[in-house]
Amino acid sequence: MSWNFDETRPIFQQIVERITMDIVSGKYKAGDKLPSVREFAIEAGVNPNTMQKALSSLEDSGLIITHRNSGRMVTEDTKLITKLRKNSAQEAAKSYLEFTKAAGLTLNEAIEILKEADNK
Amino acid sequence: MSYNVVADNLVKKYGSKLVLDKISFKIKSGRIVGLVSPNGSGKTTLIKLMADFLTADEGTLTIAGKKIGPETKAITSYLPDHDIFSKNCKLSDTIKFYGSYYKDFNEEKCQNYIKRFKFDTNAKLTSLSKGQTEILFLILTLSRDAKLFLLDEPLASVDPINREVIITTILKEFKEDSTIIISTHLLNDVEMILDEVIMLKDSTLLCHKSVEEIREETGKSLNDFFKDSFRIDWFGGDNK
Repeated sequence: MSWNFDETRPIFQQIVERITMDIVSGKYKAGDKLPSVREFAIEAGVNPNTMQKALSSLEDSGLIITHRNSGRMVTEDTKLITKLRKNSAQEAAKSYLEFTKAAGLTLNEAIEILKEADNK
Repeated sequence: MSYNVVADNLVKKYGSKLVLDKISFKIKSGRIVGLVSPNGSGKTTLIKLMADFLTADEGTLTIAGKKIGPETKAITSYLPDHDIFSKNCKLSDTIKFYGSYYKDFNEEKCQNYIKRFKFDTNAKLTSLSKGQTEILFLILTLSRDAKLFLLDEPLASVDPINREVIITTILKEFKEDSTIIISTHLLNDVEMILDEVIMLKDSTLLCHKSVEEIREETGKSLNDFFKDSFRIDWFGGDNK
């Protein structure tokens, strides 16, 4: 099954987001070997050059390391992954707070709603 | 980087009717290119020129640096939009005939796909559905080690499940040293696998662009960009 994409945004960007999320969420763990460009492209159902561009961009950010002999793997730098996990959560928190602010809720009310949601 | 397909000022007429008007483009190896236009805008004619099934009235066309002719035909694998084999042939004979015709035919690859898709090689072509026939000919076309693959409407009569099979097969067989050109009006299904798109309008080249650039610049999917480029102006013009 191919991945779901929003065809109105550059695909390479969405692949970067998706693989970053898969690393942050632990689907791919620190030091895990990753599929080849071709395997990834077939799995995602996307153009191989687009997949190549996305993986290169992930290499530039240090999240993916390429070894000459063993191919691509997830970085073993767990600090970097922890940092990214926090970044992603902060992004989600920001958009949640934007919403609660616009809806006229105070910060305390917004926090209460979060706790309630967690208890359900 | 050198270009794999170079078209320079191609002109094609049927009698007095101009079908292609000064078409020029360059495509590199390692690219999957969509060829799109409304019906009757010259897609199939352009494909047939590249396959050397038709000759241009004006302009030049080179494939892998060679002028169009027997030499380019030998390195071009063409999937027509219509049946080319007698329906009374058995599948095994069809494969044998196809393989004997092309030197670069990879028999083993073909047989692997025949097995994977569970085709009965003793059956006749008449027993296949339209979709199965389409998949069979796609397998034959992609089993050649060619430099240029021309797929004319490969998805036209295929259901959504088999569309995915076809897309995956194209991705699996795609090689860095070759170019795949897919003509289609079903952009939804192929836009994710395209590098570039060539659009024809009223016999001329409307645009040749990177698909990711279109998304970035317009915020539209390729499908919507295509539809917007050809939208009829229902409310404009003279309304008296």
